[in-house]
Amino acid sequence: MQDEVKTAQQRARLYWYRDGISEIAFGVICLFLGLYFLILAVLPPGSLLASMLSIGMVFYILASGYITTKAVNAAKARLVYPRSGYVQLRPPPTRRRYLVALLAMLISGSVIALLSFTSAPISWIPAISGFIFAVVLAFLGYQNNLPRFYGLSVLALVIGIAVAISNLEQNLDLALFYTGIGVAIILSGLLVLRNYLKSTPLSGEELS
Amino acid sequence: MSPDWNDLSNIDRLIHEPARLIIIATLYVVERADFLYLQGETGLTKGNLSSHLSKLEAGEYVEIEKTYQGKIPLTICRLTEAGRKAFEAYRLHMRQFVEKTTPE
Repeated sequence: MQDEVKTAQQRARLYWYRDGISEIAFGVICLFLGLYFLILAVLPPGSLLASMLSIGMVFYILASGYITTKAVNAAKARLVYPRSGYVQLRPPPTRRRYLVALLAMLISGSVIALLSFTSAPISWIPAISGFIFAVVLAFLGYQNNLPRFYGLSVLALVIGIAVAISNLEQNLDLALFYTGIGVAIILSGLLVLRNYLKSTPLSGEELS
Repeated sequence: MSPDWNDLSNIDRLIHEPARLIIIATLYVVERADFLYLQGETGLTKGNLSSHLSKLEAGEYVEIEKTYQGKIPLTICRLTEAGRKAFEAYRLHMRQFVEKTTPE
């Protein structure tokens, strides 16, 4: 019985990924980040706009996250709910949310410490970002039994290392990294969405 | 020692019926789901699903909300706290029964 419940849980979680819309949205957030770093790279260092952008990064990420969440909900309502129905997952337990937040802080703290207290060059950042992306994507692939996420995980690592060794200017390297990974994730999501729309016809009006 | 068969006669029959058990197990792992999702997950026909949902609603194990998504009617179902507790009790009951009746 426990296994059946776990399987049902996994199926419900998998449902979130089966149409590729959330992947496309995540890819769009990465593109927003790529654009952010591109603007920073183009602006003269120390300019008022560059400083304002640096300070406003958190708001920029939050705003792009908010907009894409709205877009995901609208796309799901239009494309997915009439085909395979609507489901809202249970929020994770508070303890797990704290653990995830703690883990995120530990990772970002370790990266900052690595760059501050060692002689690691700043050009490592895309490789480190690629590694973090790779770990998260591989974990999602493992947790939800989604092999395509393993491919994206390897790709994130490859893009990160490739950008790091190409020795681009600061910020331009991150712009390229986030654009590259964003495009890869969007393409993967679009393929999944195409297959989903092909294989799942519109259901007739609901009767109940 | 012979198993206590009375254990099984006390089982929650509202949940014990296979179709309703699948519906409850599906709703147990989500916050809420609509009729179409439940139909896809359980493999039941519209009529069957509707009839079992009505029984579960009458037993106050499931809450049903009828709403609209644009012009399409949407029937949203969620397990009540009583339904959640009843399912957990059912699982425990069945597990204990199976343990008692498994030969050593």
